Amino acid sequence: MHRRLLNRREMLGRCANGFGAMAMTAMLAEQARAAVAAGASVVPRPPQFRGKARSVIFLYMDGGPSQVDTFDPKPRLSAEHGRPFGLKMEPTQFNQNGNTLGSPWAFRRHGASGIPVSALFPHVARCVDDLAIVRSMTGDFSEHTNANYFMHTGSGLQGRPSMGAWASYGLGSESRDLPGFVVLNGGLIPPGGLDNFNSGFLPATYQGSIFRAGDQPVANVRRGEATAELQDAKLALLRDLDRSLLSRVGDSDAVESAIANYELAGRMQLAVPELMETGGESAATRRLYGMEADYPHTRTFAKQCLVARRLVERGVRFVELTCPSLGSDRWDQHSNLREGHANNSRAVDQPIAGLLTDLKARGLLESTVVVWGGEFGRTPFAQGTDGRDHNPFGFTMWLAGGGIRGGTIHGATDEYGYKAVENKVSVHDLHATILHLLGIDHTRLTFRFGGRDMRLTDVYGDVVGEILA
Amino acid sequence: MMPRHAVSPPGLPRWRVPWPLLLASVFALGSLRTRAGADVAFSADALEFFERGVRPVLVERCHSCHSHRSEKLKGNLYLDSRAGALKGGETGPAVVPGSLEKSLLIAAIARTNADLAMPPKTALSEPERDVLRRWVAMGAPWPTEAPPARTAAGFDLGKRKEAHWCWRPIANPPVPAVRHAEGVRSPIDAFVLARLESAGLKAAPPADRRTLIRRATFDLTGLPPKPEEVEAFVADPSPDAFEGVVDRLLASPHFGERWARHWMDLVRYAESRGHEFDPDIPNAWRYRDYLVRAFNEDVPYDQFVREHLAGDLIPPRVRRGSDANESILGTGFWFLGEEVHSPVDIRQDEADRIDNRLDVMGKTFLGLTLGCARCHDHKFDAISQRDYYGLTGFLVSSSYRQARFESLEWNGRIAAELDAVRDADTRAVGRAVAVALRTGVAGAAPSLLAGAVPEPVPAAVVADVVVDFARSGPADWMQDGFAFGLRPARAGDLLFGPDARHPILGVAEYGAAIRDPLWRGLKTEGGSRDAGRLGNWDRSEQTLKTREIRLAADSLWYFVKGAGRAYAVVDSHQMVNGPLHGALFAEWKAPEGGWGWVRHSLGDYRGHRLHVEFSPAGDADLAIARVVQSEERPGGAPPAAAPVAPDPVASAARVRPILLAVLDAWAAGNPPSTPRDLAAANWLAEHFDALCPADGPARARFDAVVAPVFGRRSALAARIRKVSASAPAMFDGSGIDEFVLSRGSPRKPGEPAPRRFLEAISGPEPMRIARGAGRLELAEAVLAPGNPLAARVMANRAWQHLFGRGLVATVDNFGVLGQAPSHPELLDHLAHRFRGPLGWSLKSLLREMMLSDAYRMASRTDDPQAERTDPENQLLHRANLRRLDAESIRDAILSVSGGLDARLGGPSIPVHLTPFMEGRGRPGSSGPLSGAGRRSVYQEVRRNFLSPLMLAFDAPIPFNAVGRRNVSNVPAQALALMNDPFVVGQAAQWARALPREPSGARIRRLYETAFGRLPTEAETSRMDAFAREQARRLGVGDPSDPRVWADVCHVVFNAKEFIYLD
Repeated sequence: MHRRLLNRREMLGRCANGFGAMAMTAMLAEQARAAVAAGASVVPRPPQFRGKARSVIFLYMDGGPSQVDTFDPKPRLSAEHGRPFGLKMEPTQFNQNGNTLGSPWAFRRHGASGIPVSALFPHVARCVDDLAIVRSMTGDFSEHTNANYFMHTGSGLQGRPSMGAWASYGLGSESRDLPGFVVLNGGLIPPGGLDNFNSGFLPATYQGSIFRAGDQPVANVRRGEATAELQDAKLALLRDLDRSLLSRVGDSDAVESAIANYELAGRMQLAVPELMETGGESAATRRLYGMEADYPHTRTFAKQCLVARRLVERGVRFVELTCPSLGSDRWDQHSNLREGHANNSRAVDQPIAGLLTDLKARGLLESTVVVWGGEFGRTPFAQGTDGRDHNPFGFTMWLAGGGIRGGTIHGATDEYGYKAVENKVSVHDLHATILHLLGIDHTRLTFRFGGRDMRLTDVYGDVVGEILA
Repeated sequence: MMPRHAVSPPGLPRWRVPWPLLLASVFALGSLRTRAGADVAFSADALEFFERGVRPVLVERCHSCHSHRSEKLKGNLYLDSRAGALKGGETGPAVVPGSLEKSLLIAAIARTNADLAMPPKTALSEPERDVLRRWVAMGAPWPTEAPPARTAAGFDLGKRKEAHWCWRPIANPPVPAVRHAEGVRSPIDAFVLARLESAGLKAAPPADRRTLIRRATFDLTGLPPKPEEVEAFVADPSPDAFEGVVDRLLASPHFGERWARHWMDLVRYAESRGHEFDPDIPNAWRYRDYLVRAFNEDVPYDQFVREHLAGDLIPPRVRRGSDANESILGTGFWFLGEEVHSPVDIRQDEADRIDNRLDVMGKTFLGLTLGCARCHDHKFDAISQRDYYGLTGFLVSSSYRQARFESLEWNGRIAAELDAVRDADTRAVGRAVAVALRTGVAGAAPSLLAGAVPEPVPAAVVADVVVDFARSGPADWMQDGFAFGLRPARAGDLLFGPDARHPILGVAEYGAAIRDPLWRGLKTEGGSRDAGRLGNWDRSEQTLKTREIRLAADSLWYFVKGAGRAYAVVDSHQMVNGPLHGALFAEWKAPEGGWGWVRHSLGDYRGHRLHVEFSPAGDADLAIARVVQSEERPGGAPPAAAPVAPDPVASAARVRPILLAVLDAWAAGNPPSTPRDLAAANWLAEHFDALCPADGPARARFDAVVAPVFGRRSALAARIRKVSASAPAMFDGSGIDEFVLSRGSPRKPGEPAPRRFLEAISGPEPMRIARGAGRLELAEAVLAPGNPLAARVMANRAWQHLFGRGLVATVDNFGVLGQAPSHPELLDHLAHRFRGPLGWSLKSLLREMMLSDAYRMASRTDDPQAERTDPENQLLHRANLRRLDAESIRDAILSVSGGLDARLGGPSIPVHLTPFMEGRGRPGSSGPLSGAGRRSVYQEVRRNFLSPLMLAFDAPIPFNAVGRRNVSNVPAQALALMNDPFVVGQAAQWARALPREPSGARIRRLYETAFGRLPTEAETSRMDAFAREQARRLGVGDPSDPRVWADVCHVVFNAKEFIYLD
């Protein structure tokens, strides 16, 4: 593809060493070219209007936490515990529906807002005045994989772009040496696999980069050469080879972008280890997140949350955290609810509270949307005797941070916590709201594929105005 | 999806009744027709109440979702006319005049039921509710007024067809005249040049030979040219040297690999089903190898399409050098999509799955977005919702199997011969039996005969028969294989035993599907199996399916003899695994005392569409006479045990004449038919050895007569091919039409949509279908001369892969939202050539394109005007500079490094798993980093574990047809080429394989191998200097050390020249 609209060389010439102060513009330009190469009809752009937030941290509670055991208290369940369930039961994934199951956890009111939170989240409860709790979420799918795809991409089937991909497509990344959409893998990839984070029909630029704990946090980011000098010498030879190609084929945006990518890649090689090295954080900060907690999985998630903050500080657009692997199951307690939910909440509660507190203290919470929730909720009646089955008809998610009205409860389920009955919020509405917070009109963020201008929200979605600040 | 209601944001225009109009209507005397037909008039007071109180509430609070002005009508309910309110929506009448209890509107605004709380977000105020309650109680007064109409333009298929280019017939446009005729090597050039000249442009000069052969070799084989191939071409003085190159490349076996991979993008090729546990699509690679062979053999495209849509239904194309059925493998593409296990809503799951299949089919073969007509008529194209569901019918009438493609054809011939032998010999054997037994029966001791003819089980009279093999038609004889013969046995048919020592098993008591013991021991091997229950059963080539029905009872009942298995294929659900739907499988032991009813409880699936697939349980005998749907056991009590005869002598006296009469009838060539005679015949068969002892003279005579019969049978049986591989394929069923599903929801079936092709092409009439699903008729409609799309779409794809951009750039969408052709006449010229003179030969079409001057242009033009006038190169003033696709990059690395294993075909190399590829269904072990050196097309594609290297370079995620890949340009690509251990390893391998030679010769070798050209002097000295300095940095004394050259080779892999094609 030959250059027409953008003159890379001119742009590079204006910037001290290629990118520098123009990093964001350059990233956008690059992505614009990628989109053009892909035949996109819409190129990325600055926010369509002034959004409150610049970044999103999505705390993905894989498996589906129970709303009635966390943020949506239902005394009636306890009153009717063990009795046949009082409402018509929809078909369930396991079809082993039992009796009404009261929550094993007590709820207490917290903060100035007096919002009730169960004993599963003692730390998050202290931040409740920053949360907008949506108790009326509804989904379309009872199966993990479909529901995961739906929550991530707005479609229950494989292949659509993840919302992190949409967000970075819409806004680009403000980081000059990190990808726009980062998935911090705590150990569990949700059913449906990496396609939950993929770029679908959007250019590969926007796909979620998986970061994991360990020696090599990002694929191919560790230099193979023994020394930087050895690699630098190779890159110098490479530049000469590439210059010779340009002299033969003439100006070419594509080739020049491909060359520039090596500069970016080189910076990523340095930036990622620096990012993951949290040893320089203060002892107080590390304690706040729970990096010294007794429970090893709390420590795992604490590190993820801390890295999430560092990513947001560096301008990464969308960060998603997956759950640590507890050795039992994620939030999917078809049986043994008491132990399973207790372990899962123990792993994430303190780190999440630490993240919210730290972001706030650093003034980052104003520009960061934090989203908590899973792919669906759980049934208020038992599966067998001590579990809960999947429930997409009414469940809870919460949002906090940039543009969110804290201390809010939005929507309600029926008196059993089974189905949303008031101010229902669909997954599309959630997506529309998140994009809105970033300054994007979800109806105008489109990409032409297969004959349609595709949207994250398909043809649906309303911004949930009631939870906006 | 639940209907949802949007709160109108402030500022959304709402319909307000103009005040004067409203006033006027207050004074009008409205009237309406009651059900009885009498006019009912409302008083002016009532109407005023409506206009002042009710209408404003409806308009303000309901009409944004429930009127003809709604942007999106919800629940199919109109509240902008009395008729609409009375008719109601999906859940029933909204208003029943006078009845608050029966009016759903009242229930909805009361919000007592969560599913029916309206308006969804903000409840009506109490005064508003009161107004509506009073209005309903009054009998819902409403003035007479014109029925409201949608303001948006309606769907007019004819107009749309008229208006858009893609539906027009393929023309054979005259080759245009051009000024610079010297540049016209082929008609293609005339078309291209004519456009350029009209824009005042000229074509770029020809590319040099090195560039051209590199371009052609990658385009046709996906591999770089070998240095000796480049040199030979450069040195070839003949004017048609390039022709020789193209012909050689078209004949290369790697051509098929390259073009198969293009096709695999369209059919979302993968070898696993994704979803939660990513189970195998068993033997999907057989389809991939089918593609490689088909492209290599240049199977005419019309045949290729026919094989995809109906390869199981046509006289098969047989694989060279074998008798394997190639054609049936084409139908595997339908089953390469995602599948869900344990779907809670099994019908919705089917709708989604079929939607994907149809969408893939529409984009691939027609360049149309059929999927956009699932919920409503297409928003832009001449495709109606009825078209969509008419096409859906072909798919719901067909199902999945693992077809034993290697044995099917061969065994089919054996089955036909066996059938012929049986028909020819059955009389002779009957007569021989009669002769052999007559003496024995006449002289048999009464004790032997006692109880010989028990009272037969009365044949139950039953209703709701799904199939009764006594009177079934061809639509009830749909079989994968031949284990049940070529037709049902008729009552009285002699059942031959396996050999002459057990000549007859008896006679068929009922018209029944009877498993022939000759077909025991089929073994399907050489591949993986379906996940879950389905994979545990050996069903291939021994499955009989019933017609498609809608289940009207809670159980199916099978009247059977012997052990067997039944799989109720409900809503075509086949990934039966996990907590739900285990009930689709039933397996039974032989009922005691012969025939009996087996119950298959399917209470959860009442009202669903299903058919049943029967298969034998191992080697056990199995006969199925009837399938009935019923709540109760059909025919009352189970059959009683045979009565014991009280007195042997009396009984014998009664029985002997019956037996003799049966023998007489056999001798005369008449099979027994009454229940009593059938029972007698079976008793005779059972006691054959006693009545005709093995050492007696009668037996010797009998043996002499039947020996040839059994000789023929055993000779045939010995030739049955018991072992075969299998592959995913279509299994034709009885035809059934789908309904038009309101807004795409399976819960809202509307009118039936008879199966047919697109109205815009084949007209609105239902298709005439001879038998079964009708896919063969569908294939013929797709290929009919009246359909311009099949040829145009494929010709355009071929062009895109050679020129980097289709004449229609949106190769999968020729509709209104696609791009118009840049050279419409050229497109038609090519489509015309393709399906006419070139006989649908892809290779011939490619050859014509490549031998044009247009293909041979350089990618650089010295005409600055051209770059200004045609910056996107739509007019083709030069060649496009292209980045290699993911597979070509990896294959080129292997080819250059010497690590390529160029063998064709075979099972896929398991995907190499990096630590980042996590999640459920992760394979137990990783494939080799090198992919065993095999080409990328042979690397396993697991939906949930896609190769990161392939993804980084834009290999598509296999979820829908992708005819044109993204070409992204991202740092992950640089990181992969810099640090991916595969790339680094191949560089080292290449370096180790370099012969010992001076540095300059090595550098020349590297350039020739990787870039197809010679280095300049400056390039040579630069690389040479690097090698020497890197040796120093590495602390290696010898600059020719492979460690040093591994770095050189690694830089070459990273060079843009390596991954770009100019």
